[in-house]
Amino acid sequence: MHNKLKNGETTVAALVAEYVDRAKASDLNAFREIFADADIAAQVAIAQNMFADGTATAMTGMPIALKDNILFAEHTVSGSSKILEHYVASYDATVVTKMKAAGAVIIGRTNMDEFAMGSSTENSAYGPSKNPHDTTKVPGGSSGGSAAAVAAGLCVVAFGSDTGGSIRQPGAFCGIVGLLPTYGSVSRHGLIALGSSLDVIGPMAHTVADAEAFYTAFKGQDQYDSTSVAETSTRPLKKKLAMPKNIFGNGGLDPELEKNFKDLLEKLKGEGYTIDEVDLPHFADSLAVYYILMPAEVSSNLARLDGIRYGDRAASTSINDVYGDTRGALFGIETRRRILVGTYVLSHGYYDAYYNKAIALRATIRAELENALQQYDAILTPTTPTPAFGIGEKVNDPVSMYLSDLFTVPANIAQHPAISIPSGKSTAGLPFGVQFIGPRFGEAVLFELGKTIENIR
Amino acid sequence: MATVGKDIGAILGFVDTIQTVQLGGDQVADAGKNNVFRDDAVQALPASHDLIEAAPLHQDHFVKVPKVIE
Repeated sequence: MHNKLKNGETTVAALVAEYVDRAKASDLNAFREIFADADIAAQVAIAQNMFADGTATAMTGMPIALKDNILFAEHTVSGSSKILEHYVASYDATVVTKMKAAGAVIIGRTNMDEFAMGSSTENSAYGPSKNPHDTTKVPGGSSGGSAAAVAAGLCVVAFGSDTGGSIRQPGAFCGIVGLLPTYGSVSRHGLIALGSSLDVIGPMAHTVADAEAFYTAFKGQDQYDSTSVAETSTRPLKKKLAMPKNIFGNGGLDPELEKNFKDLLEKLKGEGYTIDEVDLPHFADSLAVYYILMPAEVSSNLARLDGIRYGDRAASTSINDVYGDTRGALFGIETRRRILVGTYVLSHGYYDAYYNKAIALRATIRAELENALQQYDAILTPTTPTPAFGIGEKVNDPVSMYLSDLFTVPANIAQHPAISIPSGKSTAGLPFGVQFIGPRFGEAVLFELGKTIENIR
Repeated sequence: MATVGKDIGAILGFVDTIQTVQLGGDQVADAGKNNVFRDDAVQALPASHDLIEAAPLHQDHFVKVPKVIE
């Protein structure tokens, strides 16, 4: 696409118009908003000038989308919540600043689970998105709108955020690549915070090469995010992979997904990879740790949404009623569940038993992963235990919904990078994904492994 | 609220599994004590004008918010 623009075979205006027309015609509810024609035209003009003056990069002119929790100045950003329905961002997220400088064309904001809490987009205050492969199924979440938009060809790349799997799981459900970068490698300045020790912005794309190009363009230390760092790891590939013990045989995996995964293991061995089962004793405890730490951080982060400084306000006559009525009326049920759980695990008398224990277990899980990654290039798992489930199937059973994050959460707990690569489809046409968890700042290893999967699947 | 209460009970029941995980006493006691500090040195702060300008609404060098009490 970049070469066609560079050679003059097409123009930025024509390319962007093609994607915008498809996005407007789509009924997937992938987008919360497609930006105004004048807005997009102004960005197109900047991109066209960059081609004219020779400063264009691989990102220039590419139609991209932002998850509805990434601030884009002078545009509404709502976290797909009613409480921020009319909130207009007063500044750009750092990743947006970088994309504008690269000449990418941001065509809209995508639907998501409210404040990134969910695995299906069914928690969006504006209705669920649909999976392009089967519109009766969810696209995954919380970056489900971004995943659906990329999979359906409504944009070239979409930005998501991943706190417990929210890029990788929808990537797997929609048959696209989803990268969770190392925590700290991408600035969180301008990302509406969910779990501040867990959140990472990442790319969702059709190919590993596209994900790599965009990640390279927007990573880096940022003065506005004191948790951001500029490290990279350049260790060579050993062609040795680890798999946690006990993935198979306990009835947790969809049978077709399990067969697809096992077939892929054989193909990797055919490429010269050794794959060892390793004991990661607390890998499975990651989910419980996550659902203590993340709600705790959510209860703190969402305290700022009080009807005073940001967003909408319920009419009330006392300050406490303003807080209670605003949050009660304008937060969805999953948001309220997680705030209540988070407040509970941080409360006097329960803090040590839940929060402190989870922090200690987090350190143990991280040490186990890092120890394994001393000897192996990456840890290999299916991205999800099942392919995409039906809309409405799990929405009233929160714990059942949480279990779809079983394989993705450990990387967030340990603050390691991970990538989901499409690995095949079910007989019903639903995509499967395979996940690699890599060493911290070892995204180059993940890209190489991902390209291997693209060649052999 | 009854539904939310039941859901929260189920969630807490799920995360309660960490109580069965055995860790060293020191690991839990020391949890959260490793903090990240920066040097106690004077750093340039953003200008107050820039901070005020970043607020959605501002007037006369103050951040402006809707009235709470009429």
